Amino acid sequence: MALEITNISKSFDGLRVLDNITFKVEKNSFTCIIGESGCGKTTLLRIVSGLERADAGKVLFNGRKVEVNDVGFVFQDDRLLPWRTTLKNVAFGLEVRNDKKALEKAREVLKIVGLEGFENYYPKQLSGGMRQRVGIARALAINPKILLMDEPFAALDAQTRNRMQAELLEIWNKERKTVLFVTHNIDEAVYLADKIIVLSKRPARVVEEIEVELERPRDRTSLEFVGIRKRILELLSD
Amino acid sequence: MKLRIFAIFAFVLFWYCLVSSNFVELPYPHKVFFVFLHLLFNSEPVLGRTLIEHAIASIFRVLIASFVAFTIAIPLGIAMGWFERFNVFTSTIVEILRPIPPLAWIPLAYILFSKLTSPVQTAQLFIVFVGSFFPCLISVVDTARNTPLELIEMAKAFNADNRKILSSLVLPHSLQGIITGVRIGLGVGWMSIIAAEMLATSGAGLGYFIIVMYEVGGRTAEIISGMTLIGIIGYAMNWLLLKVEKLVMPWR
Repeated sequence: MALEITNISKSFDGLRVLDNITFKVEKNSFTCIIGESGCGKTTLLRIVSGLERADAGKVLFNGRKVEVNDVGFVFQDDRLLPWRTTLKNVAFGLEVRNDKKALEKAREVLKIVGLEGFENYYPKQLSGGMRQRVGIARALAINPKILLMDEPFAALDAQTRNRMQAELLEIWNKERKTVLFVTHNIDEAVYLADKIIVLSKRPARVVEEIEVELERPRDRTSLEFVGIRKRILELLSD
Repeated sequence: MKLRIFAIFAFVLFWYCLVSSNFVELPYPHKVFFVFLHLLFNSEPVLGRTLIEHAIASIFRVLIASFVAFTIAIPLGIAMGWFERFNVFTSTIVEILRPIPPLAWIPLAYILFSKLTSPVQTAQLFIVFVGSFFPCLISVVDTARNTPLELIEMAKAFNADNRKILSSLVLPHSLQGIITGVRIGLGVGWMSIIAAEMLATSGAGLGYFIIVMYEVGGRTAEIISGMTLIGIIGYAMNWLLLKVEKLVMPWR
C-alpha cells in the first residue's frame, strides 16, 4: 500500500528535466521533495497527478495506475476562482463529481482548516495564508487518498509560513492522507516530512532519501533538526 | 465634489465670456436653461412633442436594437473565445466589418429595408444594431479568450470536463467583458441613433428634434437643449451600468 514512482524521465524540447526518478511514498506518510528552483519538482508532481505525461517510467498507487479521484492538488498560487465565495471554491471538486451534498461537505472541511465563519468571503477579501487554506480545503473536500502540494507556502511571509506548516500538520493529523509536498525550503522540509527526497540540479535525479524520525511538533533549533538541515544543504550544494 | 462644482461653474463662466465676445453665434446659458426646462415637459409647437417624449422615442429604439445586438454578440463572443478555429474563421469577417462606422451604413440600410412596411424605423434599428454589436462582441471575445490558463489547469486537476470549465470558469470570467461590452455598446448605439434620426423623418426622437429645430431657422436654444438631454442620458446610461457592474460582480 504505497505510491510508487518508478524510473520517471521527462524532457522538454530535448532538454532533460527528470532523469530516472525512483522513490516510494508510504501510505499516509508525509514526504517532501526538495530541490533547487527550476529543477523539475513541479513537473514531477504534475506527472504523479496525471496532468503531464512522462516520457518513460510509471507511477503506481497500490499497484494500479493513479486515478484522478485519488488525487487532491494544492497549487503554489492558490488558484481560487475569484468569483466564487470560500464555500463555493471548496465545493468545486465536489461539484465536478456531481456530489449532491457538495456544500454540506465543503462546510465541514472549512471547519477542519479553521475557516469557519468565512464561508461567504471572496478570495480577494482573504489574506494569503487564508487563501492557501481554502486551496487545501478544496483538495481535501474530494476526500483524496493522495494530497499533492506544490510549494503551497512559497508565496507567504516567513511567519505566516511557519504557522501554516504547523496548521498543515494538525490538519494532516485529523485527515490522514498520503502527502507529497514539493518545496525548495530546507527548513520547511525538515519540519514537515517523514521522508525527504533530495533532488539534484537539472536534470533532476534522486540524490538521497532522508528519513526524519524526530518527534512532532519539531523544534527548529534542536541539534538534530539543524543537523539534518546541514546535511541537505551539503547535498544541494554539491 | 467641490472640484466638480467648480468645473461646472468654470464651464458656464466660459460660456458667458464666449457669448459676450460676440465671436460666435450663441445664446446665453440662462436663456438655454429656461428653454430647456420649459421644453422638458411642454410641447414644442413645430413637432408637437416635449423633449421627454423625444428622448423616450430615441431610448426605446436604442434599447430594442441593442438588446438584439447583445443577444447575438454575447453567445457568439463566448463561442469565438472558446473555439480558436471558429474565432479565426469569424474574426476574419468581423475585423473587416468592424471599422465601418455605423453612420456609413445609413444609405445602404435605407435601401436594404425599403421593401418593408416601416423601412425608416427598421433602418434606424439596424444602424443602432451595427453600432452596439461590434464593441460588445470584441469585449466578450477578449475576456472569454483570456480565461487564465492556471485556473483551467486547476479545473482539469479536479477532473472538470469542458462543459464544467465553460460554465464555471469561462462564463463567469467573461462577465466583465459582457458588462463592459453592454456599456460601450449602448454608448455607441446612443450616438448612432441620434445620427440616424437626423437623416430621415421618423416623427420623434432627439436627433430628429435637433435637425428640425435647425431647419426651421436655427433655433439655437432648442438645439442646445436637445444636445444637453442627449448628453445627460448618455451619462446616465453609463453611470447606471457601472452601478450594475458592482452589483453583479461583488467579488471585484
